[in-house]
Amino acid sequence: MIAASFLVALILAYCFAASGDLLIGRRSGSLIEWNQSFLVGASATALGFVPLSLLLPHHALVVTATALILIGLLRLRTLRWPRLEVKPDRWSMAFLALIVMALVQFSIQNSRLSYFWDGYQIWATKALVMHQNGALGKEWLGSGAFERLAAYPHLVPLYEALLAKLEGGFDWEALKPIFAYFYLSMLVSTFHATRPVVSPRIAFAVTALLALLPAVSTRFAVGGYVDMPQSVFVAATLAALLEGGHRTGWRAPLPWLLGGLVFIKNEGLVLALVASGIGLTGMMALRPRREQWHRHGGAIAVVTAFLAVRTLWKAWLQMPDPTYGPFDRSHWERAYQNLLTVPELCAREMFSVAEWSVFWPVFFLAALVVLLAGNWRERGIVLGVLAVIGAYMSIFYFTNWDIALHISQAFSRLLTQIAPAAAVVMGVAFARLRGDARNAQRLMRDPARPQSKRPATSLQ
Amino acid sequence: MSLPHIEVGLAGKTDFRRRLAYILAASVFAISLYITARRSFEDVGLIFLSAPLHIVPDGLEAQVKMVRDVVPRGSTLYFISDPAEPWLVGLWQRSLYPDYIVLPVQNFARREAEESRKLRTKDKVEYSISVGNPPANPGFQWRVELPAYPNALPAVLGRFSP
Repeated sequence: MIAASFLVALILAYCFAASGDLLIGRRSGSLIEWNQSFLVGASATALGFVPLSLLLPHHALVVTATALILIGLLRLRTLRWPRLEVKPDRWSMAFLALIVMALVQFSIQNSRLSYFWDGYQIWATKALVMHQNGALGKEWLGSGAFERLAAYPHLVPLYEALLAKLEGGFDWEALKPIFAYFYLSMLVSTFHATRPVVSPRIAFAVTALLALLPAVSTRFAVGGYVDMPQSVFVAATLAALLEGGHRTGWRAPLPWLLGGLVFIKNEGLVLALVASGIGLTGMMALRPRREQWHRHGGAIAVVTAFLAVRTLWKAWLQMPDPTYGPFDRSHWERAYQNLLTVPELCAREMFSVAEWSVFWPVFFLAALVVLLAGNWRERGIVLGVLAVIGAYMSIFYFTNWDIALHISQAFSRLLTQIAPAAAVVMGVAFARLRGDARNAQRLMRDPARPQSKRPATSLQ
Repeated sequence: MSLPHIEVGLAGKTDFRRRLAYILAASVFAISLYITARRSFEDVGLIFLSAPLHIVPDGLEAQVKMVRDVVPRGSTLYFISDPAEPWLVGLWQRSLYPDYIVLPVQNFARREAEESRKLRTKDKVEYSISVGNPPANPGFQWRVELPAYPNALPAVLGRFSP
């Protein structure tokens, strides 16, 4: 049963990748390209599913499943199997072995453990309602009490609902395999994000370091929560930002990955705004600016479409989330009273050795090194991660829950979302400390440099 | 296009920097491996010995079947518990979806008879699942015990007087 679900989830992942390929106009060949197309396809499907749900209130899911399968079938004619062009050295092999072990343990835990709270009560339930109704809508189990959950983003539940549709019935446990593919995608995306700025060996090491984190590879990640899938899109967006390349406009992968951030979790809006800020700042630094606007206008339109659809959908549902705010006098007073309590409680979660090992203390050291010795793009990553940490801490000042309870339940999961970006910063810091800054910086200044000139050890 | 490159404190002393980088990296990896190994040993016991295979316990499946056999499809049921049992009501809501609607209510047994009758009329509720130790009886016309299962609170299915 589980094996069949793994296979159907894989077929769906292939169909997402095929639609991603179609959208950005390429035939994926390497594992990195396949992974990127999978995420682009999933993101575009989630975007299209919103208007489709309004047009076909009971049939959007069937139409989406049919379209994906048709695209997948058409793509079979020109299928190129994912290549693993790896000639890793001894150390890279050791890191790769650790990564494979982490993937195996994740798959075992993910299939053996059932859901944790939100994984069942929110995300898989959203898939259940979607599967039953055939589309997105305002309904939520008819309970009247938690209808605000209907406004939660739908990319991961959509994948679950499509899986249930293709399997011919809704079975809670049969949905779990999708998380194994997201985990694999997180590892590939992190390698992809690290590779443009450091050597392949360091990229393998950074990916292994991420995979060794209990907070990223166990607990909520195997409990059906969507913070780990959110981290996949963070890593993939970062990879696309750093990769540069000749693709611009609406057919570039970057805007689709960046836009996809808002369809996974509510906090994705913060991530999307920070990523957009980094991208726009980088663009503004280039001259002539008018030409840049013209060159990237299509990409900006795609990101705007994602933000607009998500915002309009929430406005149409009219289901405010009572978890935070409003920003009235009493909330500001409470925030002032807890000025030091919130950072203290967050730091306790962040520096929990059992969950995070020494990851975050090392990140702060690495951030300092990169701010001192990195180039402008590397500093941008550091500032982006710090901005997100700051934003995620700040929201707890306005929570309507007990602050300590909320932070203990949520902050570590929020950190999971940006862990790949923090890991990339560590890789950059190691390279700068080691003294191999120059080559990487030449590469960074010339992002359109042909990939064939890169070392043959790349996964690309 | 690039901003001025700053190398404060990092310029020169290449050998020292290289050694420092490798020592730091090796330390971070060693600690991470230790933490991960320790966590893996802890998790093995959890995932292979104590974690349930299914999200909905088999015992609850039997209770759900009994409710389905008795209560007409399309009905709305109350889920009465004091204190609240959010996880359990979630299991019931999802197990009976979409054929039934399950509404959680608290302190129902302590309400005035007239008030609870008005509430039931508004919600069109005839049946209720009551959970507790013992389960509350808010004036059922009849009630039947739902089959018990390990680590579960006693539960009854009851029908309100018209």
